[in-house]
Amino acid sequence: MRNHEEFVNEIYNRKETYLRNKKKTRKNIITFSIPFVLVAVLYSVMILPAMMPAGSEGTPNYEESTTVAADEFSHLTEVFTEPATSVKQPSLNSSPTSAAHSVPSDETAPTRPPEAVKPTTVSPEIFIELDRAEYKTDDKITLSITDTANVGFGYSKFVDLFEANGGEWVLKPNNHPKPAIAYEALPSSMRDEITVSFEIDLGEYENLKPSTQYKITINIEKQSYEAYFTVTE
Amino acid sequence: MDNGASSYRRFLDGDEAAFDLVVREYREPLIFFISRYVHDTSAAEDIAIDVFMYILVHPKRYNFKVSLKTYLFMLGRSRAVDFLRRQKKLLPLEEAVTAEDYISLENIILADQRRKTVNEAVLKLNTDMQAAVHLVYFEGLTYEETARVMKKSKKQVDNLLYRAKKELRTILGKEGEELL
Repeated sequence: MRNHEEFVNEIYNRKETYLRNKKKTRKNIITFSIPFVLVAVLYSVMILPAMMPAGSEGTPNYEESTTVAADEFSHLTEVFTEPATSVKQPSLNSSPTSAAHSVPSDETAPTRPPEAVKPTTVSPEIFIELDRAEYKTDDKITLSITDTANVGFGYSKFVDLFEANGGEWVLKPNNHPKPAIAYEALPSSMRDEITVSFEIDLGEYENLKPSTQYKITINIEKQSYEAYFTVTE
Repeated sequence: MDNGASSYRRFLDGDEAAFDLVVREYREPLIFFISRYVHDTSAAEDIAIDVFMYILVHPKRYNFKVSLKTYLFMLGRSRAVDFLRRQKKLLPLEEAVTAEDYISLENIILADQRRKTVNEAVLKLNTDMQAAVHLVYFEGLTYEETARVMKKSKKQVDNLLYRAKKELRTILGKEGEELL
């Protein structure tokens, strides 16, 4: 057994060791927790808002961004209100409408999509454009989707092609799986807008009729966006 | 007698020598008490060092509501129980490894022969009874203080001591009757 002096010395030694270890532990905790905190902060500030669905209340500056975007893309909205038969310019705007209402009932106007004249329903966040207004049956269409920021979402959607037929839009089957768009949007705080382009090969669709109007629809965030073109000889 | 509280106050005021006095006063009783649980004097000494280190590192945690002796014994008991728990997970504890140390401690704490005879009998009791008898009869703590140290109620301590006395009478026989 230790004598008194040794005993007291041992107490002080252990005190020093204890304090040293405590300091070391605290330092380690801080060292290891800082990266975690940073990641959590970055995740909540940058990634989470980007994952919010478009138009949700959690999206920062949503009100402001929609107004700005609506002003910025107003020319596209106007273009879209014109009858589809008169469209000659390559830029065709999208119009989000309910997919259930995408088939017109007016048989007398097969070349004019009835839902095209609804500028009030145009969402300012997403626009789809075709590179031309007329294509040949074996052409490739370049479709661009512009997301005007602050919506921030990633999506993977399929494209449908409809043919105007006696006042109705008839879905054209594709020889291959439907063309799909996929992109991961950047966090809204890191971009102003994002445009994604991809090609649709008309050669994959059988029996496209010349001088007939066609419609491309893409469903994004529960809304249908459309663009129109005509197939020529 | 303030059971070392005044020394401890002086230590809190910055007098390092006062801590030395506290250690001098309670080192052996504490080791002896802890060895009741751990049955190993060197382990008991180790635990006692931890107890004193604790009051050195956390001096403000002692609130003077109980005597310093009671406080030290409380800390000693809880650490001894922790030690036993850890030992149980590892290896079975060897009993009274350092018998010589134990005898020297016994000689210091139990100065007279009468106490030593009783202690021999006490060692045959279970740990709780040993601790209760030790605290009340050898260390002179009150039932309340003993209850605090052992984390039991006063009534439980009373019962423990009653049963301990009964067993001790059986162990010591007629000759031992006078010792109790």
